[in-house]
Amino acid sequence: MTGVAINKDERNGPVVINRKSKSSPAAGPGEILAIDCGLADRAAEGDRAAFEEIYRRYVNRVYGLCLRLTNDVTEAEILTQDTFVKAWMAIAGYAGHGNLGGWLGRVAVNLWRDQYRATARRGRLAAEMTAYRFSNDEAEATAGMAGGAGSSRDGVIDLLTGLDLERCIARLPEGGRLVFVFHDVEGYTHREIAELLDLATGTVKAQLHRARRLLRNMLAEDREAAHGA
Amino acid sequence: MERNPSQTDPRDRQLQRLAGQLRDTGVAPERDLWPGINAALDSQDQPSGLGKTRRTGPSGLRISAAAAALALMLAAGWGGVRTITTDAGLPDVAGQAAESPSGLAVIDQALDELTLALADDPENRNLSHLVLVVHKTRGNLLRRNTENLVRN
Repeated sequence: MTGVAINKDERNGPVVINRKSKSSPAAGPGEILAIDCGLADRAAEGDRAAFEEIYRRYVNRVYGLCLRLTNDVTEAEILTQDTFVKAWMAIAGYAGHGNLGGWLGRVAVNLWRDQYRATARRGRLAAEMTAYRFSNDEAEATAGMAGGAGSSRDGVIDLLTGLDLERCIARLPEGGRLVFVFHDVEGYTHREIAELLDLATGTVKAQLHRARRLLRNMLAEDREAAHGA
Repeated sequence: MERNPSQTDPRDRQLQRLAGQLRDTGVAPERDLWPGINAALDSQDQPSGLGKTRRTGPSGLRISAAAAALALMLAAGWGGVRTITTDAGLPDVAGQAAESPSGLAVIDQALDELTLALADDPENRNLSHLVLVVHKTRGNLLRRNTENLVRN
């Protein structure tokens, strides 16, 4: 994946949100788990058709995660493919604990983390985050928390769609994007994110606060622009 | 992986709710990635569980298995290679590979093995650490090879 230029404009293209994702069929959680376990068992025995079914059910979930982590269509496609190849080799390790989508997500995050740590991006990210923590943005963030900046736009989020949010996430600075994706989208704790990105927990919290504030402003501006057009 | 919405700003809770929905809805790739995956699987071995029961042993056993595989691979590559161990008690694959002319290929093989072991046991810190060390040494080896080429 290294050497692939990040083209953020690619993210502004036709992002397709699959609202009837195959990874979230109408079946209940217990039924989904039973289906997943059955497919995983068959795949572990070498049944390629069963593994393709797993792919069809969860590709949107995995690709969405990869796209948010890499912010690049080509890198996301490669990471998604790598994830399913590794999952095929390790499918026997999925013992039916938790949902299969979550397990695939962890495989993707581990692959991403290995590549991320092997590059200089980690150092740059740490510098970016530290610089933010000790800048005047802290005061700005506090003002936002108190309902100052942007408070007149509070209701705007109710009117938004996932597509709006996806596009705004892609426009966040890398540090804020990663922390927001891990915390608010994937449900990781501050501590887990700090360990994953080799950062202090306080830095993660500050970045998350900053990312949310930036997102709220971006979303409100986009909404206003849409109304004005 | 837990959320604690009670400690967050109400506006953040709205944002968090919307963001949480993104995880499950996902994003459809612009093209079907299955043909590429299927082709890659053709060149891979069968799943590691093929013909076996599920591996449910402690993670230490899996680490040992990965370490043993790497040690065997190293021994097969260069007979009589000296044994070095890391803090985690695992063979210092990276250190040994860097001393060999064919080190890069062996490191790449080792990385493949380790990545598989890590996919099997994603929370294993010893394996994560070993992957990091091997990646780092791979970079050092590449740099050293480049310097040698330039010098010659």
